[in-house]
Amino acid sequence: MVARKIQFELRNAPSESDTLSEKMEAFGESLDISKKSLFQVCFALDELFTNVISYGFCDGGEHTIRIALSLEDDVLNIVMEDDARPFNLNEVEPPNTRTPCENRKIGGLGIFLTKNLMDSVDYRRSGDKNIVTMKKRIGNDAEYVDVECKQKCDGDR
Amino acid sequence: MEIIESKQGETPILKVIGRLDSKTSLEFEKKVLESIQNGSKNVLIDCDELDYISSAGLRVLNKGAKKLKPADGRIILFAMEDYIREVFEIAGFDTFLPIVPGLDDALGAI
Repeated sequence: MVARKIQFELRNAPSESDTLSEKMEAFGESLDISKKSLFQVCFALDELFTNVISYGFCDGGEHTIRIALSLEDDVLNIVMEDDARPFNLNEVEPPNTRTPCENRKIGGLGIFLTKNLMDSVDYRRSGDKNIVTMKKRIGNDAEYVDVECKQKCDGDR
Repeated sequence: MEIIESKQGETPILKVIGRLDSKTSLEFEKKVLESIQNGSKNVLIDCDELDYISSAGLRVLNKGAKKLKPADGRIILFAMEDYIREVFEIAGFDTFLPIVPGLDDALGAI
């Protein structure tokens, strides 16, 4: 049976980003998710995970980050839950993407890209937990259309 | 991640294989900065086997581009997957990091 749901836990260690990509790859393969959609979802989770383990914990202790994904029709629901200090990613200022490279402030780039690649990104604080919920409509490689055509179709909508 | 270094004339080419993420970006940064310190005006990045890039990888490219700019040098990327290119475009990085189809185009752009 094809797993349409997956749930796993990661420790707050940099090496766990490999565990994250392995889990995601297996999930993506089992559901025949397109390389593009899988890349985008991996990117979003990797940025959020890296962010929380880099800046979220100040106590030097071990923490658990919970990730759950479920596919309903062609929409992937993604939830990440951690007990780091409060961090509302929707309050992060977007970088100016028109600035030349020498004047670029890089902070916030990962969050900005995540928000752009996902269809929705919501944040809530519940007790001592940060809960980020994302949605992404996904495609499979069989229905891959070239970018130009897709942009045109999107424009017509 | 693995990096294979080669040269076309005076121009170094770094072929990045696998994942360029927060864990591997330091090694990549070392190679990019080495190429620049060795006096190369431009640096080419072969992305044919690049599976993944995170914002940490983008940061390294931004830093490299910044270092090359005073001498009118550039980092030129080639053979990149469309879905990775899209990230460069959303970030606006394609405005200072040329992304071209193949090695010949990259060599033609320097």
